[in-house]
Formats: sequence, structure tokens, C-alpha cells
Amino acid sequence: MASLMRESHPLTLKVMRLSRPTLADSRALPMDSSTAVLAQALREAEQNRPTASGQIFSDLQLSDAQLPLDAFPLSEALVLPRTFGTMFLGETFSAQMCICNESAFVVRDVAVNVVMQTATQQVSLLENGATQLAAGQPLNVQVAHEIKELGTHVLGCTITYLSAQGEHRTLQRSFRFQAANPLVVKTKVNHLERDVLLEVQVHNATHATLVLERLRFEPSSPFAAEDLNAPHGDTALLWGGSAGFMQPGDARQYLYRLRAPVASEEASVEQERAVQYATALGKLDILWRGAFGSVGRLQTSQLLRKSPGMFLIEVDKAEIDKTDIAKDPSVTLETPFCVRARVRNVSENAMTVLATVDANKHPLVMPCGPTRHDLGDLAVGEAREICLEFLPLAAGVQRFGAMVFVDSISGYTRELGHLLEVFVA
Amino acid sequence: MSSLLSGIRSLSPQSPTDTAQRALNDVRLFVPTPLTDALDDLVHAHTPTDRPTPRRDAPTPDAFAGRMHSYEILNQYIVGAQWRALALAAEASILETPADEERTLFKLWTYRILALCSLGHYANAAREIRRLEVATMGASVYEHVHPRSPTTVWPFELRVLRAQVAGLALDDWPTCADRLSSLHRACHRRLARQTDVELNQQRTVRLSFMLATCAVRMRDAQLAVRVMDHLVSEAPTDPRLTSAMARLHLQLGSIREAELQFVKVEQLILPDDKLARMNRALYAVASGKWEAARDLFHSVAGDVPEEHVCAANNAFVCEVYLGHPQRMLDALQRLMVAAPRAAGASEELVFNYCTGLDLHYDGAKLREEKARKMVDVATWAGDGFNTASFKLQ
Repeated sequence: MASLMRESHPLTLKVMRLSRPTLADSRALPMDSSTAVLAQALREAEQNRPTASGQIFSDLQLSDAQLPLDAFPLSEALVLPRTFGTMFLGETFSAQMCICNESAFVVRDVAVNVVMQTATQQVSLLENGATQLAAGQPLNVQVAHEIKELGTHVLGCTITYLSAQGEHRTLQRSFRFQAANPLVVKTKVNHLERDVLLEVQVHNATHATLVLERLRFEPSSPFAAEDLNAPHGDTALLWGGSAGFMQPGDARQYLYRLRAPVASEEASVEQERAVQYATALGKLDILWRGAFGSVGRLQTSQLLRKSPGMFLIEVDKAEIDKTDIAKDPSVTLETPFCVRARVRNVSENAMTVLATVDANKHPLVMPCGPTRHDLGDLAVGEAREICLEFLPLAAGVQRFGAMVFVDSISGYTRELGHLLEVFVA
Repeated sequence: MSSLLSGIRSLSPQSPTDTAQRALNDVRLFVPTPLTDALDDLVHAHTPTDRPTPRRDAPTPDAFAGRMHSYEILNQYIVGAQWRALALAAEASILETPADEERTLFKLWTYRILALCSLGHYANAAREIRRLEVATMGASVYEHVHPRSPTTVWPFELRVLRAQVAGLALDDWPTCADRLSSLHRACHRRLARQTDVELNQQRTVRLSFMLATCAVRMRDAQLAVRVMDHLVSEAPTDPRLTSAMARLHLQLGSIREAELQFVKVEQLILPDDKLARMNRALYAVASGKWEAARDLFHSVAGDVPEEHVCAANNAFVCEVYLGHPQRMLDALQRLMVAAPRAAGASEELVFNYCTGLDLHYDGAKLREEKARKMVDVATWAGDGFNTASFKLQ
């Protein structure tokens, strides 16, 4: 008959998670010193229970009269963690393990092997060489593992030893726990011409207060990131004082501008294509702290966008002509102004391009010069500048310059909704 | 009687129709005093019958009934943490005090409620406070309602206990905060009128600390920090207050802010002041620098750790994080023997010690060690010891 009794071992194995200790709550019931009779007795009682009092001591002779610290919520005594608690992604699991020889005999060749098993991998945390334990002697080891996956984790401990009877034996124990997600990160991508405005929302999904110490965006090429969250670079408003606290359920929003390289005449078609077709924006690096400074760190996977792509004919520069410095550089009502636009062939073939201004699309800013411009032959990557004249008929912010570009070789047509927006004074 | 007045009941405390009105020494105000003690029960349950158990004061009502107990006696019960005896003695004294001696009666009621709270019988304390409120209905429970009401004013301590019991008994920390805020405003008004300036200044500080406690219990870190910020701004040169603020930040996880506050403290005191060393040690704990923390705590505890129980405890706790839990066990045991009342009967030290036992032992050996510790603690601890410290499943 198979034995139903659990195999007995001379060794015991205990594991304790080493999360941070905390200061004990002060438990003194504070009393008013105006009641001299009662207060004196309570002060004497408090001296008998220093670990339950909120008192803070200095070598300076400071009067307690004005500072009744007995009412302060925390005592000076540290208390070990009360429970295993919840394990979160991004934290480091560390544990104290104690293997004790509870028999009356020496146990030899004690070897310890500790692994962390998840759904996707098994990581060896400790492999201790053989040692000997006298009767009652403990062996203490510590292990640590950064939690990089959600879900079930199993801490597996295997101890092999030679018993007093000379028998090779194995003690196996496993400890299971879950790793939960502490922060929920949501992003939203908005396009602003060539640049990207990235909105990030971080939500505290735990039951405890977290302190966000750092939120940093690391952009991917070709973008450069500008942090729009700290006015004038003053990060104290974001992370200083109580600003970094996130209560359970709190959410914070942050904004970044990702700047693409400015289009230039020297840039090749390949460089321009790399910008327009880039989908990877970058990664978020988040650092937070829990009670008594326990650290957690998460880095998101690559944040992606739907790339805007490229047209085969691009207007990579359009600006109001300021070459005539005698003229007022601002755009005024019913005063003609010129726009210089640079048109580039970014296809893989040579083109012969005809550009036409649509006079009807934006009637408040009318073209008042030639509306048809023959750009002639454009080689791959070649650009040509055209000068267009417009007459504003209404004040305010106005869009203008709807155009159509046609390649007479391939028949390719590009419609441009507007060239620019301008303020008409 | 005019039909216009029918159905309207007077709220005056003198109203003869109000049957809930009782004198302050009415026996019906009391809830039966609980006389069992969890530590006593635990010791008897876990100690083998052939071993002697420590003698502990198990008071009986008859020993206290029918006579007055002086304040001196009552205070001795406080110093000795004999809360059951205090509850019974206060009850007996209340019953023997004439109903018109309201000041004395309120003082005795303060002892009574204090005893119940110290025993952890918060629900009973809440019930008795509620009955007292009804008994003094219309009186100045809230000073700002009847600021000049003469002898029926509840003493400040009793009002504070009333506020705290709301949180302790029912976990209703918002109500506790409301009541404390009301007291805070009353003290501020008295300060504005230059009445008992020193006393009311001290009271506002004490109430602010208690409000910070409520905020911590409500898990509102920002409120707790705002309250402490306000306190520190009124006394920026007191290093203990700034240290208290920094330690609150450490507890909440705001390490950078804690560091800034600790630096301010170091500008107010000498570098080898024990406060500075204690602060640095706590900061080292929060930074995971266990060796440095341990050494700093040891420097505070010095050669007489029993006179610096907190620092000594903290140094021993660091040993666990340094991989030496047995050192913590041995050191804590020595400390508990050297200072049996301050350390040996400390719930925090007992908890840490039992955590060490859990790590080292198993099965029967673990139970034996914990039973031994229970007997040690029971020899010195007063009533109301939180037996959860022994970590018995």
C-alpha cells in the first residue's frame, strides 16, 4: 500500500518575503497637559512603552510643552512586514530563506537550488555548494528576482542532503504567488504637422498610495522628445512635495511633443521617408516608490503610431515671402502677399510636374497671380521653388492655397488641401 | 394644549418628558465591563498544565464596588496598564459621586473611557459615549455651539476621546476628522481671543497630529502631508517637528521629500545628535542600505540598549535584511530580558521576535518557543496586550 504519510525530513525550510519594514503606529491615547493629574500618569505610562509613543528625542534640551509629539501618528520603532502583501510587476522580489537542521544529528552535503518559474521561463536564483549542518544549526540564504511578467510565479526550492543514515535525500518545496499590474498606462497619439503630440495617462491600480518619482519618455529615432509637463523646466511642481502621491485609483496625465527633423533641401528622399513612415515613437520609463521607499520600475514596450505615410510629390517648405524688407512683414486685409513654396519629387522616378492653385476652395484668400505653374522636369529628390501671390479678403485666421500637382509622365495627381494658415490683420 | 403644539417634543435637558435624560452617575450609562484578557486566555491555552503561569491581576467588580477610588489610585492603574482595574474603579467612583458634582463626574468618565479604549473595547467605549451624549443633551459637547455654557462642558480629553472612538470603533475616520476639526476651530477661536494662549497652542498642535493620523488611516497621503506642512511652517526651527514630517514622508514612500526635510534638520542640530543619527538611519533603511542603517541605530542605542529600545530594535531588524535572522532573535531576547516592561512587553518587539521564530522554527518547536514567549510577556504586560503580536494562525 502506498504510504499516505508525508515524507519527513530532518531539515525544515522557511521563506519570508523581505519587503520593507515600516514605522509602527503610535498607540498612545494623547491627553491634554492641562489636566495635570491625568496627563502626568499618562506620561509615566508612555515612558514604559517607548515603542508605542510618537515621541522623537534629541540631545537638545527642547521643551515638550509646545510640541506634544505623543500625538504624532508614527513611533520610532520599525516593524517587520506583517503579511506577504501583493507582488507587482516592476518590483524586486527578495526573500530570506532559512534551512534548519531540526534533528539531533549532523546532516551533510546540504546543497540548495532555488529557481523562479513563470509561464514563459525558469530562472535560477541560487545554487549553493554542499555544506554541513550540525544539530539545530540553520543555513540562511537570500534570493532576489526582478518581476518582469504578470501572473503566476513559483519559487521552487530543492535541497539535497546526506542523512545521518548515509542516504541521499531531496526536500522540495514550492511557493506560489501572483504578480499584478501596479500601473495601467494608456496613450493617445495626435499629429501636429510633422510632429506628434503624445498623451500619456497613468493610473494607480493598487490598493496603496504610490509616489511617482520619475516618468521619462525615451524617443525612438528620428524623433526628439520635448517634455511639456514641467513649465520652464521646473519639475518640482510635478514630483516635489505631495505632488508625486498617487492614491489608489488616481490617474495622472502627461503630454510630450515628439519633434521630427525639419525638412531641408539637403535631406535625401530616404531620410524624409524614414520620418514619414516611422511607426515607433519610443518608450516610457516609469519609476515609483511604495511604503518606506520600496522601488518599482517599469518600461513600456515600444509605443506605436499609424504612420502618416508620404505623397510622391511633397511640399516640404511653404512660407510667406519676407525678402522685401520695405514691406510690412504682416499680412493685412486687401493687401497682396507672396508665398514661397518648395515642391519636391520624393518618388522613385523622374517627373514632369504642373502645379495649379484652386481659386474656389478658399474664397477669403484669393490667388491674385498666375494660378498655373509649370515646374518642368524634376529628377528623383529634386525640388523647385515657386512664388504664389494671394489677396486676403477677410480678417482673422485663414487657410489658403489649395493646390493640385500633376505628373504628366505617370499621371499621378496630388491634391493639397491648403498650403498655410495665416493671420490677417 | 393648542393643536399647533401637539407632537412637538422639547429638546431641553430639563424637559420632564425626555425619558432618555439620565444623571451622569446613572448605572444605566454603563456597559458591562469586560473582565477577560486575551493574553491570560492565550497563556492558559498554550502553556502545559504542569508549568506555572504568571500571576496576573484579574480584577472582580466586587473588589471595587461601593467606594470611591482616589485619583492617586486611578493613576497607579494607568502607570501599571491595569486597564480592567481602572475601568472598574472609575465605574465604582462614578456611582459613588453625587450627581451634581459634574466636573468630578466628567473627570471620572474620562478615566473610564480611557480604560475601555486601552483595553481595545472601542465598541463599548462608543456605546457609553453615546449614552453620555444623550445624558448631557443640549450641553456643550460642541463648545462652539454653546461657548459660554457653564458646568456641563465636556472636558477637552473626553471630547478628544469621543472623536477618536469614532475611528477606532467603527473605522469611521472621516467622522473622527470632522470632530477633531471642530475642536481645532474652537481652540483657534480661543487663541484669537487670547484665552489660555499656551494651552490652546499646545492643543491645536496635538489636534493637528491627530488629524494627520486620521488622514493616514483614510489613506489620504496628500491631506496628511498638508496638515504636517502647516505645522512645520508654524515652528520651522524645531528639529523634531521637521523630523516627524520627514518620517511621515518616508512611511508614505516620498523619499526625495524626506531627504530634503532631513537636510533641514541637520542644519538645526549637531551632526552627532541622536536625532540626526536616527534620521540618517531611517533614511538608510528606506534606501536599502542595511549595514549603514544598522550601524547608525547601534550608535544611538549605545552601550545601554534598554534605554533606547526603539533604536536597538531597529538595529536588530536590520540583521534580518542582512541575512542574519538568528542575530535578531538573540539580540531581541537579550533586550527583552534587560528591559522587561519597555521591551519585553512591547507589542512591536514581540511581533518582530515572533516573525523571527516563524522563520527559524517549525511545528512543535515553534509552538513551544512561542508559548515560552507568551509566559515572559504575560509576566510584565498590562491589560489589553494585542495578542496578534504572537502571530498565531
